[in-house]
This record gives sequence, C-alpha cells and structure tokens, in this order.
Amino acid sequence: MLSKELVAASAEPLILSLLSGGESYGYAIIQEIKARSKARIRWTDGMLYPVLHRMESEGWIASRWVEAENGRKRKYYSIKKNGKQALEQQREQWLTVHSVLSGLWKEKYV
Amino acid sequence: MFNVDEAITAWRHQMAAGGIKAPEVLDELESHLRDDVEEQVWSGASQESAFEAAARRIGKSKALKNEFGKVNRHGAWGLRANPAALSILAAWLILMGLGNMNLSLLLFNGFRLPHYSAGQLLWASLSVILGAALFCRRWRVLATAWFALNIAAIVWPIAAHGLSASLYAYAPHLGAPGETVRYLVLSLLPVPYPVFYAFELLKASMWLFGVLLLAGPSIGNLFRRASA
Repeated sequence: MLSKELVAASAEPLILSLLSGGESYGYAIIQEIKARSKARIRWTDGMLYPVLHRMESEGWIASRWVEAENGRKRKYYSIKKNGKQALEQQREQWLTVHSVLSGLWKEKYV
Repeated sequence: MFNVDEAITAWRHQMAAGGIKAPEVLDELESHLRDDVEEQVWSGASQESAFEAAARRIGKSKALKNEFGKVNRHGAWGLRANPAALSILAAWLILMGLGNMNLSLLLFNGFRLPHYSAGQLLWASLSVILGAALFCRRWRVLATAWFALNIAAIVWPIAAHGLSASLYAYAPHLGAPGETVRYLVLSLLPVPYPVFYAFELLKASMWLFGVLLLAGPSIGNLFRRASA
C-alpha cells in the first residue's frame, strides 16, 4: 500500500494519464487505478471527486453527463489541451524523481 | 425489507445536511454509489451490505465538504465565482467601454489630440475585451488587475489634487479632458456636481465589487495561509 501522501501527490498525473487514453467516469477511474496498481493505490472513493472538480476548474479536464440505456446518468471526464500540457510537465517531474532514485539505488545495491 | 432507492434518498439527505448541497455533486456521488452497489450485488453481496459498504467508501459528508471547500478556495482567483454576478460585472465593463467609445469626439480629437484619442480608444477597447474575457477563466486575473487599475484611476486624482481639481477633470464643459458619452449627457443636464460624484462612487463600487468577486477567494487564502 502506498502512503497517503504519495497517493495524494500521484492522483493528478494518474487521472490525466488515464483520461489521455479516453473519457471515463469516477467509478471506472477508481477501478482502473485499483486494478493497474494491484490494489496498492487506494483512494477513498468520495475524495476522487473534489480532485476531479479541481482539475476541471484548472481547465485541464472537461465533463459531460451521459445517459446510459438503462436511464442511469454518469458524468464523464475527458482531458483537454491544457491537461495534456500539465500531464507532460508532471511526467517530466516524475521521470526526474524516478531517474535520480534509480541512479542512487543502482549505486547502492549493485 | 431493504429498499436501495429509499436508502439512497436518505443518504442524499444526510449528505446535504452535512454540507454537500450542490445537486450536481450529489448526483455524481449517487451515480458512483449505485455503480458500486451494482457491482457488489453482481458479485453476490446483499443489497443492504453492498449499500453500507459503498456509502462507507464514499466517506463522510464533513470530510468531503472540506475537500470540496478546498477546490473553491484554491481555485485560481476564485474561478467558481457566481455566474450571475460575473454577468453583471461583464455587462458593466462592456457598457463602460462602449460609453468611452465616443466616436465623434474621437474623430475631432483625433486631429487635435491624437495621443489622447489613442489612449481613449485603447482604454475603451480594453474594457470591452476584458468584459468579454470575464467568461474565459484564464483571463480573469487580467480582468481583476483592470478593476484595480480603474479604482486607482478614480482614487488617485482625488487623493493627489483634491475634490475640486478632480471635479474639473471630470467636467467636459470646463474644457478638461474626459469627453465621453456619459459626461456629455450629464453636462447637458442641469445636474448638480454631487451627481458626478455619485456616479464616480458607483463606478468605484463596481470596480471594488469586481476585485472582491474575482480575487476574494485568493485574498482569503493568503490570510488563511498567514494565520495557519
């Protein structure tokens, strides 16, 4: 299980990366991240929505309500141009951290 | 017998009582809740236990309210400002901009005072553009700066030259610059000078309203951080 701080810090790049593959809705986003992380990343379900709303107010993602065949409505989120730029910046930052840590651990353990 | 719809209605009331009042947010959370219940039931859980687990996973209204509150507070420059108030502000900006766009005077002054006419045109254009830009989230910082500048434009002459001198600057029939539609209309009417000042006060209030509406949450944030 990841620490609370790391889960919070990685929420935005995870959501942006996931949405760059196509639009999705809250419940599906949580399930997808849970599956991909083999349940090591766990969000408190409700807490995802304030993050999504903040990202929407930043202009990174857009939302629309879609009605399913059974009449149920779901709010779908999709990535915007600004979101792609934000993702690119965040990607560089995470890769920097990753490469520094990899280098340090390689020196230590090899 | 457990009824999931009734349980969800009660859950919505509970969330609303806890401060999650926006119907759209509640709809979204309900949609999540139903997805979760559906999947659990499909996996073999009873509706009641599935509902309880799903509601627990969504979390308590107080914690959620705090998180949603952060969205509003930390949104750049109060991006969640009331749309109606924003519309009034935008209409005001555009009106002021168009009011300054006194084309006939601009043409006359274009020959006599080209630099003044250019300045007037620029001022008016900026007002109209920024009024429209209020609806574009990314430009609101500029609009806020514009409001602050307008406040300064009213306060500064009064502070620097006193009331009588600033009145001179606002009265076109006295020959000073300031030829705009509104001053022409006002100068043709037998209105006492306090009317000019009342109008200036209204303008200043509108600009101040704009600054508070757009930058208020950010200013509030600064205070919160300072006191934290």
